[in-house]
Amino acid sequence: MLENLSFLFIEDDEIEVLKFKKSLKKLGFTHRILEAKNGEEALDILRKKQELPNVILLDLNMPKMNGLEFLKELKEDSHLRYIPAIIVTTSNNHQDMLESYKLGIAGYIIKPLRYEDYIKKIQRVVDYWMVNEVIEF
Amino acid sequence: MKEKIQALELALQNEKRAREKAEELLLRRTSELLEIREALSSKTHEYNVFFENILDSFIVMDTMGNVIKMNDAAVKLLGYDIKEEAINVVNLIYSKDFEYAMNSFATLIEEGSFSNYEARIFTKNREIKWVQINASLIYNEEGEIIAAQGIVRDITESKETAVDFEEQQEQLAAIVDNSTLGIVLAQDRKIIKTNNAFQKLIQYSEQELLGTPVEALSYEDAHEESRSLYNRMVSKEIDHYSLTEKYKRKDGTSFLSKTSVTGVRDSEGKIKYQLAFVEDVSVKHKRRLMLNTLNSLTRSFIGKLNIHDIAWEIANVTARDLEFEDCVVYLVNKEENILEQIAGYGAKVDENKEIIDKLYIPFGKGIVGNVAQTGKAALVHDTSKDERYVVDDMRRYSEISVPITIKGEVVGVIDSEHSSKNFFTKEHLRLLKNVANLVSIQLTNAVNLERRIAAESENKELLENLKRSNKELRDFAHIVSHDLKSPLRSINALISWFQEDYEHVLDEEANDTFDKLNNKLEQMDALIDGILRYSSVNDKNILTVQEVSIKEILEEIRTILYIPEHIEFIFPEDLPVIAADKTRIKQLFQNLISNAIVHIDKEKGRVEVQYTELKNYWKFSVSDNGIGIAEAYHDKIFKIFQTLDNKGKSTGIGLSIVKKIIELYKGTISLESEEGKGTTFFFKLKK
Repeated sequence: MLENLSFLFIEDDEIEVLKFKKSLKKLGFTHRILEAKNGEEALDILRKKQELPNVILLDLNMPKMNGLEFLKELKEDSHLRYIPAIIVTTSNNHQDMLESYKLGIAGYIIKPLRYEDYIKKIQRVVDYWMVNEVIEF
Repeated sequence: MKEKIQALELALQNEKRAREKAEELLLRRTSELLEIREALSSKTHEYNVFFENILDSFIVMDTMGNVIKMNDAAVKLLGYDIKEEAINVVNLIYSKDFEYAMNSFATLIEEGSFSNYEARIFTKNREIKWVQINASLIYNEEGEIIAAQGIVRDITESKETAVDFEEQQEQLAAIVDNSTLGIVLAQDRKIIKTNNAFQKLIQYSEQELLGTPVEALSYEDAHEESRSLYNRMVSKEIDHYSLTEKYKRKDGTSFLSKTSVTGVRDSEGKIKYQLAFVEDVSVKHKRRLMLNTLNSLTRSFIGKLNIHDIAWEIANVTARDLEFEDCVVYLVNKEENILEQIAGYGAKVDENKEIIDKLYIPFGKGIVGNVAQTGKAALVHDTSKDERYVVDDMRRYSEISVPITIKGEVVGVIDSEHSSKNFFTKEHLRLLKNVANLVSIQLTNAVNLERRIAAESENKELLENLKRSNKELRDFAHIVSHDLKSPLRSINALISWFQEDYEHVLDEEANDTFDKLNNKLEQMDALIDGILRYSSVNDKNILTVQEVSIKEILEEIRTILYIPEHIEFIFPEDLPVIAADKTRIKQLFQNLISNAIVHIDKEKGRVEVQYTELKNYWKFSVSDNGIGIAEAYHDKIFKIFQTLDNKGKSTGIGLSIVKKIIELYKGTISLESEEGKGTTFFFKLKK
């Protein structure tokens, strides 16, 4: 159990990034947030290995390398594949969900329309990971 | 006139000469007669002396042919005895020899005797015997003929063997002379006799061939083999041999022969004669050669679909197998109106397989150009007599040129020239025509194959395109929904932040406006979800077939949907289990039931599901006691985005999805409705 987790938040939409950050702040969390605008950037951060996150949150629809492509790369890395990755997306598409679970994800969260619903969901996710034992790199 | 006199004079001369000849003959005959008569008269006196002692049959007959005397030998020969019966010699004559006998008898009367009369007679027991008779007349003192006497010798045996021998000889001669095989009899390998066929074949006369050494007639190539075989025959190793050799004719041409030689040995076993049978196999050989060429070409064409590859095979195989000096294949270039060399026997090629110093012939020019233009093959025995011929580097005296035609159009020409006249034959022409046909068939097949491959790949491409566009369509709905939904979430967040940040300055009316704004966002979100659901109804990727219990579905719906207290939701216990995709069936009922619930305006509402089983369908109905739907809208409601209320409660997608799902299961939907009283939707799903 860690008081302070570090999240890698992969999202190209800056308002979404803002939403996540604001939600954590509003909920009073002080977790560390690493940001990446797409899969490529995220892999760069991860491969430097200076600071590895405890949990990865990522969107599916992103420019350059999308979420699924990033997941594939991540799961091919013998080291990074153990970092739990959670999809946060607007897509309730069955195929997306299936593909994601096939590649090995730790969760699939659909972004609700309402901001307050979003905050509630984020709270639950963070709470969940806070009660989990996570691998420390 | 002058001619007429000359002719008459000539006729007169001829007549005179004939008369002279006749007189001469008559004279000679008379003197012969006299001599014979003298000789006979001396004999008549002698006959009694040896009559009884004679061993040969002896007969005396009167002038009417009645036998008046015969010795024992005669009785034995003829089987008749005059002591027992009368005999007339006329009755003894073999019918076919009757005329000959009568003539001989006349001679006897006329000349007094005949000798070496040979004819057949019948014996008493109807045996046929060949006899030789020497006869003479018997005169009385007055010189009158009183009888004839004859010595009859039985020659049946010798006659028969003689006939056999003669006949055999004749037969043999006939065989030898009429044989189509050349027959040569040689002694010490020098010709002593030949037959007609051989003389004809070699063009020398029998006289010319006499004494000629056999080797002088054939080409050297086979001499060694021939000699060694002959030596083996001399050394009694073999009695017979055969070999293939080439003979020279008198006119300088040659022919290929299969020669069989048999040794004829003398009593000591030494070779006395060599008997050779010579068969001209040139034609056979040529036919076989051509057939082989055609066969090897056919084989080499297999798998070659390109005219260039085929052309090289033609050029090389025909030239090599048929001993052509060259063989060139041209392709018609329609745009430039020329013939372009694409292959040539012995032609040099560069690294790209392009011919170095390629030949080009304008359409219509020369024999090749002419053949290409007319589509008619040419066999030229002497190019110096053919005005079409164009001298290139040097004149070649014979040429053969055959067009390759596909569907009546000349696409190429096979051509060969030869330095000597009369080199190419009709057989060559026939062969090249066959080759051209073969090429035509092969190329037509190649073109068809290419077309088929093209068509197949086109089909494949179309299918791929269709797959791709199907996928693109799905991806499109997917991406669009994401791209549309994301801004809605952002707007909602931004509104929230705005409300939070300006909480102290925003009055109730402002917040109400923000609520309405959020409401619209929700509507839009629902619309997007609806489109997504609609587009994915027949998405095969997520379509399953499972056992679906309608009762369970309805129970689930009861828990999912918000059903107000005043609305009663009823369905029978006895509902079927159908094979379908559970999500779709749930969507179907959920949409209809929620529609029904939403439109109930009565104090006591009721939504009821009913069911009947038909032979091929499951038939369901969902009825409510709501506001009802005017008949004018009964069709319209199933169209996408059509909604009858403007309260923003529905998206207008629900019934479209319902219809699409029902169509997916090959069913139909209809409705009965009375405005203000309620609506019943009936639908069937195929079993």
